[in-house]
This record gives sequence, C-alpha cells and structure tokens, in this order.
Amino acid sequence: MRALIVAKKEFVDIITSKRFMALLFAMVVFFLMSVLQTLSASRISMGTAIGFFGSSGIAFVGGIFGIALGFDMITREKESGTLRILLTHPLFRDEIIIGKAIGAFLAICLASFVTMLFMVGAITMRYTPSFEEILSLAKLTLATNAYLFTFFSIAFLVSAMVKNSSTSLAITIGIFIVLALMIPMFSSVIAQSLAGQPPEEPFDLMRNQNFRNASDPRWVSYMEEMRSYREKVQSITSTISVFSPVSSYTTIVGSLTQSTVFRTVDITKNILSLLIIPAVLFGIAYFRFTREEL
Amino acid sequence: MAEIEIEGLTKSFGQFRALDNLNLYVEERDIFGFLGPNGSGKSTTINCILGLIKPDSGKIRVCGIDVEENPLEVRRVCGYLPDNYGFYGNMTAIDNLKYFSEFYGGISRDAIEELLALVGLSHAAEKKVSEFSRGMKQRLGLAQAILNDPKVVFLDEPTYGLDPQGIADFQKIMKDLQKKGKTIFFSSHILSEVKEVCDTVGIIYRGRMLRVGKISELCGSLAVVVQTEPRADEGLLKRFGRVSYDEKRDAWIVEVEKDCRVELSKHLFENGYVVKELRLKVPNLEEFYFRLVRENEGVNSG
Repeated sequence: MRALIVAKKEFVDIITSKRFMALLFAMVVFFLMSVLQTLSASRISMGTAIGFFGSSGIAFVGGIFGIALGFDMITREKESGTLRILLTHPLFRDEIIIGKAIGAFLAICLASFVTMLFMVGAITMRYTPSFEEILSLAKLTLATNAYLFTFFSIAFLVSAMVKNSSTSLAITIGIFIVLALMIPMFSSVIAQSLAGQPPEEPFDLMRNQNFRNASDPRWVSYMEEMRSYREKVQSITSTISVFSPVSSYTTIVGSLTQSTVFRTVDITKNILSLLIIPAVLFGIAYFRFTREEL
Repeated sequence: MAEIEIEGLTKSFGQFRALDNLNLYVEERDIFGFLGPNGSGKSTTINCILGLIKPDSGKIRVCGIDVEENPLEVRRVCGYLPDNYGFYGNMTAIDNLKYFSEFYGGISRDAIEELLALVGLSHAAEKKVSEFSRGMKQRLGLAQAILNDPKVVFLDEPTYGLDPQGIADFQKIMKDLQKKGKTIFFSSHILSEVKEVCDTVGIIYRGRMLRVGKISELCGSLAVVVQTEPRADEGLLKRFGRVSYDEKRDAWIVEVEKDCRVELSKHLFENGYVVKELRLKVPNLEEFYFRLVRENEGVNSG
C-alpha cells in the first residue's frame, strides 16, 4: 500500500516532467513517420508498416526513453537528500524501490498507449483498420512496453549502484551503446569465430569443367556441412542477440509482418529476453538498494 | 520513565568504529542535548535509534518499542529532522507535507496549514520548495518532523544556517513542544544553543558517551568569586553557600543558588573588608566540554 503512495507520486512526477513530454513527442513522431511513410506508398497492413520501416528508429528512441526515465531515479533522491527525509517516515526501502518501478512502468505504459492512439488516429484518417491490424498494434504496444522497461531497468540498476546522476548517465549510455549498436553489429562476427572454420569447398570438383552433377556425393556432403554450419552460426547469433534488447525488440516487431512478407520467425527467446532481463535487473537493483545504509 | 533507552550500542563502518558500547537513557518530556564534535557519532546514533541503520550490537527502545523488532512502529511515534536533507523542489511546501503525511494515513489540509503557521511558513505554503531559502527549508524540515504529532522529536543540527530570529523561533518551538509533552532529542555542536534550551546533555566523542547529566550537575553550580583586602574570614561567607579557596587566584569561591553579590558586598563592607573583586561565575558548558574532549583525546590516541 505504501509502495503505491510512492508509485502515484513517481507517476505524476514523470508524466508532468518536460523530459517525459519531449521524449513522448519524439516517440510519437517516429511511430507516425513509419506509419505515414508506408500508407502514402501503398495500402499494406499497419503491422508491416511498423515492422518494415519503424522498428530500428523506434528501438533507438525507445531505448533513450527508457534510459532517460531511469538513470537518475535513485541518484536524484540521494543527491537532493529527499531519500534521507523519506526514510525517516514509516516506510521500508523495498516499498520505495517497488513504488518507483511501478510509477515508471505506468508512465511507460501511458507513453506506449498515447503513441498507439496517435497511430490509430493517423490510420483512421485514411481507412478503417482491420481487427488484425488493431491486434498487431496491441502486440506492438506490449513489445514496446517490455522494451522500454528493459532499458529503464538497466538505467534504474545503475542508478541504484552509483552515487550521482552524471556517473549513472555515463555508464548507462555506455551500456546502451554496447546493447544497441555493438552486439547487433558484431554478433554475426562473434558467432562465426565461435562456430569455427566453415567446411572447405570441394575446389577440385568445382574447377573441373565437366562438373555438372549436383548430386555428386562430395558436393552433397559439402552442401550438408555448409547448411549445418550456417544453422550453427545463426543459432549462436540469435543467442547473442537475445542479450541485446534492441535485437530482441526488432525481431519481435519484425515478426508482426510474418503473415504478409517474411517467413515465420520463432520469437519465443526474444519475448523471454524482454521479460527476464528487466526482471533480473530489477531484482539486482532491489537487492542493492534494500541493503544499502543511509 | 525513560523514553529512549540505549544499551551497549556498537556500530562499525569497515574498520572505523562509529559507536562503541554506547549507553544512554533520555527521560520523558526532556529536552536532551546531544553534544559532540563533527564525526563523533551523533547522526549514527540517531539513525540507529530510528532503525535507519542496523547496529552491530546493542538494544534500543523508544517509548518501550524495540527498534530492531519494529522499526516502522518506532518511526510512527518519532519525528526526525535530519541534517543534509532535501525536499521535492518541484512540489509546493504543502504538497511535500501532504505526501509525507500519506505514510501516516493522511492528515487534513487544515492541520498541515496549522503546522506551516507554527513554523512561520504560512506565506509560502503554495510556493515551490525549489524557491525556498535555506532557512525556509529548515522550517519546513521541522514541520515535517512534527507532522505525525510524534512523542519523540529528533533534531539533528536544526539551526544550522538559520538567522538569529530563526534560531530564536526554533528554540521557542522546542520549548513549546516540550510543554505539550514531547521529548526532544537535540543534536548539536553549538554549545550556546544547547545550554539555552536543554535540561540534560550527553557528550559523545569518538563513538563513546563520555558524560550524561543535568547541565548544572556537569558544569558545577553558580558561584561568586570574592577577593577582599584583607582576606575575608571563611565563616562570614559560609552563610551564602559552600565556600572553597582558590590559591592561584587568591580568592574565595562561594557556590550560590542565585546571584547574591549585592548582599555579599554589603555584608563584607559591614564587617570591615574592602572588596577588590566580586564576580559571578556561571556554569560553563564550553569549559566543561572542551576539558572533557581534551582529556579523552589523550585517552583515545594513547
């Protein structure tokens, strides 16, 4: 109950802050741009529009949104001395941290919901979206919530670990760069080095001008080895990508297009990643904060 | 009845022993002055009393409630104005107090306005705290400390940064709270202030409680230093109080209950003595405090 008092205050503080307004505006603009861009070209499904054009841009802005909400959530209270005065009242530390997380989560939900409303509004100006499209939007909203909360949790954890907001921001930006840029960029390179050397091509067979038979046992064997090598690389890449919320989010958002353009993608790992990572990070932040002394 | 009971309180931060087997009893309705230099363990003691930090060993009870077993209940019956605190600058004074009051089940707006009037902040009730001066924040800090109508109020360096009028107002509020039956635990290193408002003082140094008692008991009673020509007969002075002779000064020290220099001088004159010096010596907390700290500096470093 006392955690809800903290949550209510945090929620109001967040949604009335200039920071929140500016970031919400940026998110709405990015989402609308991706929808309108597609709608002006041809009438394809809204899910496709988001998955096809919007995901990486939104992922970037969304990541910053999550970080901006969380990086100073605890350090600000430590620096200003409000944590000290708050703790003098009948309130446990865990109620403070849970309240803060609830408040931030509600603000994130509100931001996603407002963004979705804008998108629906933009689309209904042109045509009435189908039930399937509304469902895609709902899935997108859920994925966006989980994604924003993941980055919020990263920033929140750092805020619980360090003493001041500037250090927290610097560390969080560093983590963001690793997760949003480095991992997606280098995951296939790392996967290839972990998977080892690819199978050797049967050069002598290929150089032979009379080679026409694709059913040659050596060629069949090479193709088989190559396929399993590619699967191995793919598997390692997707495993590494699971640690990047950006990759998980773009994969999930991309899967919203599966019925129209692309093949079916298994997003279970990605969904779990966006649920487990924030839960674990929040757990560590909780542990750290509740064991800290004034 | 003791409102605060501390037995064998010990707390270390790494290798540093902040509190060393501290024992303390503060009586109900007392204004207790908790004296000690910076870093002596005053704030750590208060934080332990309120369950904000966990001691390594020792027992603490406030109003009979065990702090370790029930820290929230203790905070319910206590109010605390810590040092180095802050308020939510984006909120008004009244909203800050309303927020804190929710942890006690909510307090009416009228009651909050009354509190602000008590600390002299009526005019700034709707002002954002970010626009407050340091003195105004101190006053708001006091208001939040007594928001829940506590039985015991802890004030940690409450007058730091206040102007003389602010200090006087704070002292008056402390005395008024005492009249209302509150126990005040007043931590400070400003001796003159402690002397002004406190009945009892405790002196802490390097985590050890050096002395606790009434100011008059600790520093000695009121005295008159008498020097006459020729040296006055001891028997003449005895009717005013206990007499001792200070050879260094070549003067009599008469411990008195009130300032009786007029009567004393008349009496000496009538008996044919010429008064060379007749000076009132008030109990000196500063002298006592510095002597005690000096003595213990040697003990601790040696």
